[in-house]
Amino acid sequence: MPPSRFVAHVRARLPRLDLDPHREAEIVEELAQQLEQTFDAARSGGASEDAAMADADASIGDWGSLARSIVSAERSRAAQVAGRVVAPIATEPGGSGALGPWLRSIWQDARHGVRWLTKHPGFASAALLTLALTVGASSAIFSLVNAVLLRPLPFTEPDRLAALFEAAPEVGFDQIPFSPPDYVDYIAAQTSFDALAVYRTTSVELATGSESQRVDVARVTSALWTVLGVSPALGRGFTADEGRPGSTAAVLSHAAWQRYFSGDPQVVGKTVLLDRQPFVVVGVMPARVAFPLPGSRFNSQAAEVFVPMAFTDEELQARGGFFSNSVVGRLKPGVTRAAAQAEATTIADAIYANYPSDFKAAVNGAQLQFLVVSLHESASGRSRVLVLVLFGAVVLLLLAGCANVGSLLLALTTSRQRELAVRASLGAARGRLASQLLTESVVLAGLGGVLGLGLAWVLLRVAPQALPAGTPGLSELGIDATVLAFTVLASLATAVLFGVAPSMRWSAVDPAQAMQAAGSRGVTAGGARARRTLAILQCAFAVLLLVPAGLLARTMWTLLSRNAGFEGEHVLSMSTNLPVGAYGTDGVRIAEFYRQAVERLAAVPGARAVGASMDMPLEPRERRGIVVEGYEIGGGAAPPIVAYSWVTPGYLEALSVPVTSGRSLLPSDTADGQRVALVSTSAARKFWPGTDPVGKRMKSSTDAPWAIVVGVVGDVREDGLDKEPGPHVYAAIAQVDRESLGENIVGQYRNPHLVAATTGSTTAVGGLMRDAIRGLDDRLALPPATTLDELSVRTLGTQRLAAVVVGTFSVAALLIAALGLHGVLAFGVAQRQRELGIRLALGATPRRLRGLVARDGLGLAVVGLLIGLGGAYATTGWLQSMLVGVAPGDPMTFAAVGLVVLAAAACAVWLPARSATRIDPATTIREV
Amino acid sequence: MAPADDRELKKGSADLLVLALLEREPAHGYDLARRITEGSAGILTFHVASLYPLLYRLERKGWIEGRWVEKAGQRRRRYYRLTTAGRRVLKAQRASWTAFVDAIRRLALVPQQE
Repeated sequence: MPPSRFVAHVRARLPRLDLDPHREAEIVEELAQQLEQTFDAARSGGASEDAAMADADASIGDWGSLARSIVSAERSRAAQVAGRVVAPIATEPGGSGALGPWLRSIWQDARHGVRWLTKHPGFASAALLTLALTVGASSAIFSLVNAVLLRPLPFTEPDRLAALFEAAPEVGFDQIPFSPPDYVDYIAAQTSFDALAVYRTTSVELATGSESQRVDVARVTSALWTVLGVSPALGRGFTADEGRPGSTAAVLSHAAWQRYFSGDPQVVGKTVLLDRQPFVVVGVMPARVAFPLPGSRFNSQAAEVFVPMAFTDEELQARGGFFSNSVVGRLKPGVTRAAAQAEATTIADAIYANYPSDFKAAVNGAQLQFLVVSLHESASGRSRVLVLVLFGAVVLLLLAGCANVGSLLLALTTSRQRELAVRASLGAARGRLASQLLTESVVLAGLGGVLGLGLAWVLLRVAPQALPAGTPGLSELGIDATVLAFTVLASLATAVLFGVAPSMRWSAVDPAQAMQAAGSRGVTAGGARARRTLAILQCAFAVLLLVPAGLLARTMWTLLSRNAGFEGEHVLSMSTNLPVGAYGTDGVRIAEFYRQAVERLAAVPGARAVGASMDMPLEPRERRGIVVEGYEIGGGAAPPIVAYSWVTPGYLEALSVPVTSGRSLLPSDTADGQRVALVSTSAARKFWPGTDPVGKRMKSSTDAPWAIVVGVVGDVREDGLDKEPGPHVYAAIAQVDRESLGENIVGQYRNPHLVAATTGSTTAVGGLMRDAIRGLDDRLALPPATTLDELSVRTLGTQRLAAVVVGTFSVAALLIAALGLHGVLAFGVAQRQRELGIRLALGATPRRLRGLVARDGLGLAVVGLLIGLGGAYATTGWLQSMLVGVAPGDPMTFAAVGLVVLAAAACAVWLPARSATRIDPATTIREV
Repeated sequence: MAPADDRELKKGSADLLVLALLEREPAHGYDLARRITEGSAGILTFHVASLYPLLYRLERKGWIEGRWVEKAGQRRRRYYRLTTAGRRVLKAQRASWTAFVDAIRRLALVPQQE
């Protein structure tokens, strides 16, 4: 037959295809066939020639788009796939042993992975954000834990180092430093330690040239270097000979050497003025050694200068007094801490039995114990709970994040199962598919990891400022290899577990079966169940974080609204110290300083009430066993152990501590007059139950003269807002008890802490205070004044940090959980589009559909919530030591968390529920 | 990712239709389009613009095979028939569609207490 006229018709209209000319001719001929048949059919139906031609043209539609579709079909990659069907797997990489193709395919997969991510920005940003957040936060906190808890101390064989304490649990002292006679007896009897050393910290004035500053000093015995196992970087430590009162040797810390002597290598043999007395530098400590360890409960200031110490005769006599000597020891090789503890207990019992009357008099017979504690533990003790709480928070956040990414990946693999099943049925090797998925997961985890690392870097810059100052290990804080490995493994494990494993399950079975399942799209019963489980888990993790965050927030609230017992907002505190060289050791000039300083401060404009104390306000202070006339111990009556403060008249008034009975201290309470004392409300209740102590007698120790209680004052939470106020006795500095206090207390006596309640600007008054004191002695080192409020907020550091971090994490986890829930529901709605569309078509109201989806989502949230609340109830006991005024199982907090989670879930459910009602039934059905 | 799924699904259903029709007997393009329209009582229609590219794609994949056939008194026409590979794919797709339709029937087409 002749070529039909339709060939020319097609040629005239179809754009050039640029295919093989033979093939192109075939296509043109086939399309012409199509036109001719359509034309013929129309004609036989009675249409005019023109109408029939129009029909034929209409059947083609747009010639341009037809041409494009044909070209795309002819050049499709499917052509290569077809080749594979014929000769399956022959070219699969991995089996041949050649590395080149293998690397090429990895590269291809990686590029494919990145391309895939950029094409799905929603999935990519959700997954990457979650990964970055979890990897970043967990790396940062893991680094912190590593630095603070896990890193060894900078001493030789730190495991053999122990801190020793005395304890009197009956009177509530779980750990106190040693009393000198007890230490001497203990060291003579013990066999567990190679060496033991004693130290006390104080601060002195250090003068170089005309400059003077207060520096932290440790008085240490010569055994310290043996105990720690460190040698000075320059010079030597102290000889046993130097361990006597009056020795003038000094060892500088590395920092002090740099700061005050510019790292002068010839510093050994030079003289330094400490408290205006010449000391000879005999050595310099190595750079990494900070001692005493910051973070310890007592004597915790890292020293800039070390000077020798020895007990005075007075101290050695004072059985049951001067509990101010920190002890550190090096265990003999092979001796365990438990063995040393057992021996220490035996020795303590013997000492107690030998001096019954002394202990009866001094600590009212409270049973003394000796404790042997790991040095590391004693130093990190205060931060330990905090760090563990942070660690727990991070682990939960990490779990929530992994669950979220896992859920996203599961949704992803589910929607690709068809693709995978088809490819498997066409003969693609399982290994090849696995390697593609693995590469994609690794790309995802890798990108997330890099982002997370950046976040960790930022967090580690911020964290040290939030931690209690002086927490050991902070100076070396950095992201280290362990941390990296930890987080990278966590994110990789997530990616592999949820990105690859589920697909492998499918490709493992018979392809036909897989196709059947994959084609049905609901498949995925297994996958859907897993995603729903993960959504539940995310809610549970969020709850597990929210409950402690709520408890800590309530603790903060309790503490901040608590009455501290004093007014701190407008009260300035300024500390100095009176150098021995200028003020002598007899105390006369010191007493004169106190009198004049208070007098001068009182004249400062804007200072309303002024006073001085021998103790830093709001710092743990000396506890003493006092003697209360007529008070019998035993039968439930606690021995009268009290916080003992020497203050000037005006001190309590400056802090607005009320006098509830009797009178306050007066300038007329002088050294020559009758000794007087004030007792706090809780001391009055404890030791003079049922009576007014005013007019009763007590004394500060067995040997001291009787003092008359002249007044009762309010309780002050000086040890921190989180502690209950204990019994407190205030005595007049003018009557300071030289007979029994000895040189040691003269050391404290020498460190006046001046306070002034101000009416004007604290900054201005602070400056005037400095000027006033400078007028007395222009060489005194005077640090700037701080308000007591600032000091008291510092004592809340631990709870505040924990509340902030756990709070932040719980919000992050809540967000993750909400996103996860939203993702699962949105995916579910997309998958059930047909079902929902058909329901709509069959007359279900949008309201009903919305309810269907919302109920589904809220159901998941409620299950997660219940699991989380149960878990929280079981675990918040760990927080006990950080909670104040709220029980770990506080029902209010649990209820509030429940509401918050439900509200978040409602928000997460809203969008998918609404989108369910926007389905167009017509579209849906046509698609089937 | 719903739109991508839908596209894939449509493509998938067209594949299935063409393969299934060719399983009965070989057919040319015009015939296929007519059978789809008539067989579905007009619910499904195939534009030429999508039918021929689809045929070419399936041929490329090796699932169908086109061959010019001349009959007396007619121009030659290109008839397509199913290959062995196509038969295998059809079997798999049938299975998956059966499962899908079953699921829809169970879930959606049987009236429920709503």
